[in-house]
Amino acid sequence: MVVKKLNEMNIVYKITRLLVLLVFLIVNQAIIAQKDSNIIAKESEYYKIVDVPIPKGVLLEVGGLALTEKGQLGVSTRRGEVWLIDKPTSKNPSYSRYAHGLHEALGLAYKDNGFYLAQRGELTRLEDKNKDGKADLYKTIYSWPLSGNYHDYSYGPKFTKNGDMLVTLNLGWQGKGVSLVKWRGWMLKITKEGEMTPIATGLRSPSGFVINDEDDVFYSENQGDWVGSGRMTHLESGDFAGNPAGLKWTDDPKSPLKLKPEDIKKQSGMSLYEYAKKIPSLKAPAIWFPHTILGISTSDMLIDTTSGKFGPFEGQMFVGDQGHSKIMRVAMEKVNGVYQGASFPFIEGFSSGILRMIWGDNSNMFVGMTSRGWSSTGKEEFGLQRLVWTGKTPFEIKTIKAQDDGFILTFTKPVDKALAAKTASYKMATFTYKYHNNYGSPIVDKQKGMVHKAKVSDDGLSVKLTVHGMRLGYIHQITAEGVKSDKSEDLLHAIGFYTLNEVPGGMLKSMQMHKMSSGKKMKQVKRVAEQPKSWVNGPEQKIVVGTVPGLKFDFKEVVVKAKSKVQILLKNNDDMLHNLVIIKPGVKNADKVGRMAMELGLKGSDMNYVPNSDLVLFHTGIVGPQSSESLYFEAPSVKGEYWVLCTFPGHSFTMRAKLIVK
Amino acid sequence: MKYLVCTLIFFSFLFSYSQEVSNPDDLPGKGIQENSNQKMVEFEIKVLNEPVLQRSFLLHRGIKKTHTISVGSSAKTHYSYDLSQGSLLQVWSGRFLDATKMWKSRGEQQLGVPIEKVISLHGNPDFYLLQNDKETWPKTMTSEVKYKQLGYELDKKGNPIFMMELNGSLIKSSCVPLKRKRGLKRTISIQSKEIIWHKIAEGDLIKKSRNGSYRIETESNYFVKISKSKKYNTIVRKSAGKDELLVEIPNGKHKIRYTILW
Repeated sequence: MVVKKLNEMNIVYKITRLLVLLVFLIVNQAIIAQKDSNIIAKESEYYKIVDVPIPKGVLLEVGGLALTEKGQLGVSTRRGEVWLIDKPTSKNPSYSRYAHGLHEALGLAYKDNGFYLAQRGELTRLEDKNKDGKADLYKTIYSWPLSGNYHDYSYGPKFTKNGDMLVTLNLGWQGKGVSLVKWRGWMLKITKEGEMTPIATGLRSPSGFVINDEDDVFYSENQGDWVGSGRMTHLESGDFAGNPAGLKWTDDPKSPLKLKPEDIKKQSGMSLYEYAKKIPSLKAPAIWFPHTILGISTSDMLIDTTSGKFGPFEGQMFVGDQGHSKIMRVAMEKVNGVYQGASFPFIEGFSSGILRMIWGDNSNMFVGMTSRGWSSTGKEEFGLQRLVWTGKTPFEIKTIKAQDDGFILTFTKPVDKALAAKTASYKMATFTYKYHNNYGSPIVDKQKGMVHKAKVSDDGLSVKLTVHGMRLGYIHQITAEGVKSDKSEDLLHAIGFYTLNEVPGGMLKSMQMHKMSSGKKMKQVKRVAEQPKSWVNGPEQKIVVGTVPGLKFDFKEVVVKAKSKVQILLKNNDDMLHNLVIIKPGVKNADKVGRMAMELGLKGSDMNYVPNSDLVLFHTGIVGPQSSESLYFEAPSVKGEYWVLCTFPGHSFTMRAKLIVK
Repeated sequence: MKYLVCTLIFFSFLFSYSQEVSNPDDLPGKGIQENSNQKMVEFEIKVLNEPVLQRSFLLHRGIKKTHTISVGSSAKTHYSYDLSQGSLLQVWSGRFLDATKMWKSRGEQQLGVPIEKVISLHGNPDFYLLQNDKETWPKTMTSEVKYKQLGYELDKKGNPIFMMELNGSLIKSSCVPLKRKRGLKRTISIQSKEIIWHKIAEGDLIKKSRNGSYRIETESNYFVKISKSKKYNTIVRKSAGKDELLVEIPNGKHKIRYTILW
């Protein structure tokens, strides 16, 4: 009897799964079809994204990538396996499982005939002593405590010049970033013999880090509490990168700094750069990646060491983004001993959420992905792709270099000198983010700058812009829409964001502008968060809805009566920012509004990521984690199935439900 | 179905309780039908031929353990081990592990869950340095001794041999399924400069039978049979209302083997 019932359940379960899969496929198709394929097509002329085939049954949720000395590609996965891929650039690479049973291995390195990897709770070395192609030694190099919180991710290792390893430890999540046990929120150095030294703290979600030729360490950070936007920080021993949770452990005799969490004001009203002037160990980022414009969750970092085999960006850095399935580009410089520079768009359109990037042979870039639980624009649950340079050089802003009165832009190809000498070919704006305990920050203190003069070099490869309105500690958005190459090509990406911490000589000589914008949120008439005064008897229907992790609402549909007075209370239980937007019926409209929200650019944050469109009927503001907001509206008089979306960029494709008006 | 099995187990325990245990071959593990647990598991880790290892968080007596590994065998006898202090946590048979709470979406619990009912073992450090046989056994590894987990090696068949260091002494521990009975054979190798104590079991009552095996009465009863036990000082002692089965391992090189049957 019980068995029969179970069998029936099994069938229902299977059918449901099939249906879910079907719906998913349909939605998927719609997304692929409507994705702005224009830029992807243009980019692919220069850099092609190629799939590395994954055999059926191999669940390659990539956590780490490393090449062996034989040119095999090692892949560690979130399900705790390590795969060896033979001939990974061929059409039929062969896979063999090297290790299994690990705990979410989010890193991989190959050295001395074995792999090193960070599991959640330890740094491990794997070795195949009997040479049968499978690891038979799982050696614990160093074990660190864990709280049992799922958000305690551990990443690495990467090798320093002298052969020591670095790992980074994510904060836990309890409605805010928390360091529940020692060294969460830290970067640690560990020798091969297992000696550990804590290096730096203030880390929140440090999934990517890299060591450059000078043995300098950079890590990328995700927007979140205390982190206004994605960014990259140069970490040295004793540095505090911004999230105070990890400061809890500075009493430990091994800690290189003494700063305590309570030394940091929760709402200083300042930017991190300003606040860092008061707190010597607080390190201002070298690079900011403006949220939703250059990604939403920065991940791995890879320095171009290909000696030109990967195009014109030798020595620059590529930075992956998990949520937007794309790669950004960074050109840094050191001014007065401080790292800073520009971030640019590079390549988008990868199949899943990018977590890892390494160089393969022939200067292929291997890109390893996963989107389970952390949705991405690329809809695959996991993936492995190669980014291959086609040999054609894109026309791009190659670098931006700071001067005391402007910037020097260099280009990958000679410019049309007449166009490049026009000041109207360029635009500049400056802005920053707040340093506070809120989740993320709106863009604040935005000002327009002015390009006063543009002087083209004789070879046509660089332009010196004399600029009014440069500001130390601000992000400088520089666009060069009007510039064309001497062959009349448009820039592939005409925008860059320069983080200005220093100017050569130390004295800023750029003329200052008057303040243009208040930075205040704009009034949006379709956002009614307070009960209208005319509703004397209150709402006729009150609905409480929530969010669940993995970019979902906690409901599939809600039913309301036509023309009734409705209050929807959105409770955000997730650890990301969300809104709730009700739009007109039609799945195409839902796709369209989602797309429009992604294209809002810098305005997006002020607009709560809700586009100005007739398709939008009612909406909330952006609701932070563990916060809520009400939306009051009169239900439409026309019956039908209206859409409910979260239009936070990248969310709307999965985070949608229906408002059924009866 | 589940009730039937439970009832069966209950009666079999009742039966065994009423008899004096004479031979581990007559233990309740033998002859019981294979548990035909039909539970639907979305992310089930199955064991085919080779042993399957999986690290995860595990709930042990209501406590979330974070540095733990479960080992499944094709003989359908499985166990979990706590790497952070070197202790065998639980044993069970039938289906292996449910990874749904770890692999579905973000896996917010990050738990591996044995699909069948487990026999939960004491979960204290298995090895410790006692001053004398009266000293209380610690619940967790203390800072008075220097413990270091060294990871594990796989033997030819893929069974892990766990390695640890206790005050500089090397301890290796492994479990392999028994061929004919429902149980595990545990082998411990020690190379030590000082006396090390090993806590084999804890129960409400521990009874030694005529053939030298120990019957451990806890929520689910089980049996321990030590090979060549005469060689080592093995004691059953009372501690905080419980019985403890301890063995004293002198300095030098030693190998201890025993079977755990259920």
